[in-house]
Amino acid sequence: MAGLEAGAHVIEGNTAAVIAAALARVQVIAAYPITPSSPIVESLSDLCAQGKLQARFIPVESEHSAMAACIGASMTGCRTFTATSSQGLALMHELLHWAAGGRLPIVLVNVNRALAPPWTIFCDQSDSFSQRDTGWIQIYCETAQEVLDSILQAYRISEKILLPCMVNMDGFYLSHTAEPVEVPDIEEADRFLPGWEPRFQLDVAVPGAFGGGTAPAPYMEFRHQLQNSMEQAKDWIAEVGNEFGRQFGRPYGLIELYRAEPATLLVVISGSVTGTAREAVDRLRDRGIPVGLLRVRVLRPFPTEEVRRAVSGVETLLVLDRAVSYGQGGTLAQELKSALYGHHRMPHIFSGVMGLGGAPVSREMIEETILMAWEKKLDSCRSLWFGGTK
Amino acid sequence: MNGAQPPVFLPEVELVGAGNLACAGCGANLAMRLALKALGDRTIVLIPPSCWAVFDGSYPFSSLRVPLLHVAFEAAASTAAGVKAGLVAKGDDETLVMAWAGDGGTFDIGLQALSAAAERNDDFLFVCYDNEAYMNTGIQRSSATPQGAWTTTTPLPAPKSQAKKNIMGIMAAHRIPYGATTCVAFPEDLVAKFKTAREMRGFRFIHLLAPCPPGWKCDPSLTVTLGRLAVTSRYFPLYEVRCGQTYRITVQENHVSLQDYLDPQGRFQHLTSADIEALERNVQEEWQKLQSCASSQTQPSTIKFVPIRRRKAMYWEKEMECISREELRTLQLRRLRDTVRRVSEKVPFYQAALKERGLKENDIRSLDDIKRLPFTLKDDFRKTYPFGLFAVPLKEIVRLHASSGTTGKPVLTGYTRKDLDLWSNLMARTLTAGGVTQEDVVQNGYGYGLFTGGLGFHMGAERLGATVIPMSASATDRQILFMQDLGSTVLSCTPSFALYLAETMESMGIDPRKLKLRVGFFGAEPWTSEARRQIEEKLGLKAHDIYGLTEVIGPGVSVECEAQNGLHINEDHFYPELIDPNTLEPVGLGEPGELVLTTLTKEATSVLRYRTRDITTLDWSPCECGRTLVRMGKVLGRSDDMIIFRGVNLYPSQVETLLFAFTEIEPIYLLVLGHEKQRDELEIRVEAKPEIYRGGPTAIIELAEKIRKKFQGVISVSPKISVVERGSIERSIGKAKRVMDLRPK
Repeated sequence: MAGLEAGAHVIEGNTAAVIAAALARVQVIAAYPITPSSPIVESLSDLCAQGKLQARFIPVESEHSAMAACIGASMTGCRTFTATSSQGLALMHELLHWAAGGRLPIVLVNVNRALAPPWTIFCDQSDSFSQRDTGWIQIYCETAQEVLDSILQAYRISEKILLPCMVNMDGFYLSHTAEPVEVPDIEEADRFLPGWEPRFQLDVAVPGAFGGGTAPAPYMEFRHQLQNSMEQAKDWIAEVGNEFGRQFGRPYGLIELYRAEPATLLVVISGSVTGTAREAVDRLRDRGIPVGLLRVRVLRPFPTEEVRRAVSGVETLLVLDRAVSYGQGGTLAQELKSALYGHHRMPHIFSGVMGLGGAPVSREMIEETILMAWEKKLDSCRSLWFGGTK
Repeated sequence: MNGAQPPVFLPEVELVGAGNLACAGCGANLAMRLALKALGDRTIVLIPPSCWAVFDGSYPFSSLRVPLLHVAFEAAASTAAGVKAGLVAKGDDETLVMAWAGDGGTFDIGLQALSAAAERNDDFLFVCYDNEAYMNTGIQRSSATPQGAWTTTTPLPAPKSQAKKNIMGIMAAHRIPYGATTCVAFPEDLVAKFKTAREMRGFRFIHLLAPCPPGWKCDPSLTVTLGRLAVTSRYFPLYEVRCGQTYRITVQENHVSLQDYLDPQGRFQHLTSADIEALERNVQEEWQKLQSCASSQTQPSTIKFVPIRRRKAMYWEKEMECISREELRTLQLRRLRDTVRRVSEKVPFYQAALKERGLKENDIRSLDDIKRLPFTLKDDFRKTYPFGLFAVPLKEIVRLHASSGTTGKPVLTGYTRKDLDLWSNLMARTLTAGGVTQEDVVQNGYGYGLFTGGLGFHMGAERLGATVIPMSASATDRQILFMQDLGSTVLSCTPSFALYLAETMESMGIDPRKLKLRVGFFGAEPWTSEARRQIEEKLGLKAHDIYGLTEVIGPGVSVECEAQNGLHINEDHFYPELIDPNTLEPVGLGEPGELVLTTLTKEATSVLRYRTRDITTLDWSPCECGRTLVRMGKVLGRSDDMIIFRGVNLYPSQVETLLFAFTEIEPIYLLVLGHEKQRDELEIRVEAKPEIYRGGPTAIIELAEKIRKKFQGVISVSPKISVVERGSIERSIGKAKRVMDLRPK
């Protein structure tokens, strides 16, 4: 397979995910094909068949079983991996809760794709945004390089915090687009990500029961611990991102700021469309309009403190969403409003919904929407939908 | 229980602690206690929502003394597959993973994941403890609820109208290695079946009837009584199914009426006697079906039903011999594409054939595309003689072999150093499949020289580290001398030569059964299961069939494992197809056809779709030995050796099977085809046992007539049977000559 060797390669996001799983030396993979994540499943089964990856590959009959098998394998203390998209992630929903409640450091790559009906294979982020309450750490990537890097970080994060991690990339825009990616040397990867030594596991020498019936008070305690771990994860994600930067020259945080200081308006965005928004910001900056950009890389745990720090002195936020909570509006916009409510310098927050089901989003559209927000011509109670057929 | 059986003492180990939350008289609780006694403490239990998920105990307590993982309702089988994969990834291949689900988690919501794990033949045990309704949530119907029963969702006056789902039928249709029904009221049967399951590999399924007093509305003291009545009324027969086809009923007791079973249960109190009669008819019908399944399969081979003396299967390359079918297919496709590329670059013969079809390596996208490749015939070897099919220059060839060309030019094949290495390895696999180790002394009676048999076995035995005696196929006296003096434990030669050795020893007054021989590998010519029986009996060894041919590699293509139930083809190196020799299209599943082989790794002479002319069958069901490689049946005949006699297709092997059923004759015969008065004539010459000749002409004529009638009855051919003088049919050392065709061509 192309790109397994260390060095610079031009590869697709799906390939970057495969290489990362191999570099992470995953031990059990259970996955079910679905467009656009199928190439990940195919390539991993191929690597296993060729003996290039010493992992057990379980060709399950559904995504529900894929996550169930990952849960079983993770319970034995193995590093496990799966990949899916859209309907597949939705079918896993029950077991996403199960993996988080079971405190299992499973890593899942979700290639973002809109949900049916009507049928579409194209991208939006509704599939994973609608899983944000399951207890999974969620990372959204902008480039194929970030996909590779984030998967390696995901295991470091998850295996310490004992929560599963979902690494998201936009279907086709990232999964099927070839970009230059620097593939780390396996020994460097090993140095960054040593093997996992679980504290608890299924062990015949130390019999114990996992996940059984629990009285209300201890249940509440377990769930409180889960919330606390999510809170603690913020510092650890930042530390892992910095450490990655020291070792590989590419640091990562929970959010990323672009041309933000000083800015009067910030575009808030996530995923691959960030690149288009950067162009729009550049153009407007050239015209002397002080706009910047805030990319949300980690959605769960939500980086409330970082976001609050970043928006100090900013008058207006324009949150551009590729996901909707029907009856409310753009999902990321709600997250921002929730994080900033009560902030001593609460900015105006406008919401834009775009690019659902792969609907094209151009630089011009973003520029135009920014200008409307700049002039406060948007309704702060409703999301502006743009880029559809009308 | 059957009075003839010795009492079975239950293991003393207790892995279910006292004082859990089960109801009084809970059958499921008793079931787990007995099951874990049989399985031992190296067991991990997975439980989906069910009574057991609740009554095991609430956090932080558990009544199990083995690890327990609670899992999602519909995910018992898929989670178990993951646990097993995780254990194996960490190097633990011994711990048993047991999914323990109720009827809901098995028959209904758990069925999809269960079917998938069974189809993958994942290596774990799935137990359904069946209490015939959703008891945990308050006695709602499941598809395991029997017809006529009351539940809270089949309330009176509308009790359940549908029959109970036949879950074992569904599981058997997956051809899993082991399926069994059992009941808590038969602890010996239960323990024996869990022990059997513990020792096996692959997917195992136990359907366990666990009476439930609150749900069945009966007194808690009746759990065992009702369990016994369920079995003795034949409502819930106890049996085993191996590989989905071999049925064995394990408990046959005096029959009681269904009414005796239904009467004590409140859930059936509303039934009229007409209702009960109708149910009884259904029960008897199912029982008849089960009995016929069990009895029809006892006839061809009663050996299967001898209590299993399972020796642990031995493998030479376990990771390939037990590879998952998915992984294997991926590997085969990659290797097939490599082969197509290699021959299209290096072999003008294939270059032309592929060009003619407009085919390139990239056109082979799936294994199914193999159908688009050209066939290779024996004649193609002759046409391109000597080096036309070679894919490497002669300097890379380190060995040549040739087959005994009876007509025209010989068939020549070459081997690179890597090919010889591969071949040695495959022969080591072959010997290991028969249980041969480096402790063994292998007497190799295949001819050394151009014939592949001698050197093939020689290299394999050396690779394995056994002691080889390179006897070749001659010097009968010295063969026997070495067998006695050197203590040979393994014999490899043609089956006819094995019989000849046995006969010779008999005539020398030596009892072959007193020798140390224990395993034999016989091939290079067709032989029947009757011939196997004779060889095994006379030489006192276990006879394994092997298959191979010079055009492909020599011996090492396939071999019988200890189960002696078909020959495992080394599919990672040879891709098999079965075609109809007339239409050249694939035959239907399970139908006999001509075996076509494509080499996947051989370098010097790679062949695409070689038509072996051998007629056989292929069986993909899991084998008891744990190998996943497909099994070919005995070679039924040759598509070109087929004799057409008065419009009837005859294979010499058919004749042999019929003949060797007669104990009055020796295992040797000759078919003579002649032509008299415008008609084809068939004469079969046989030699009788000495006592027949002592009986004079009457005995001889009677025997001949008996044999003739048998032929007429079975294959509608009435040959002339000649009982000839003892020793007058020529004995062979190499391939036996069985047919003499004197008909004008």
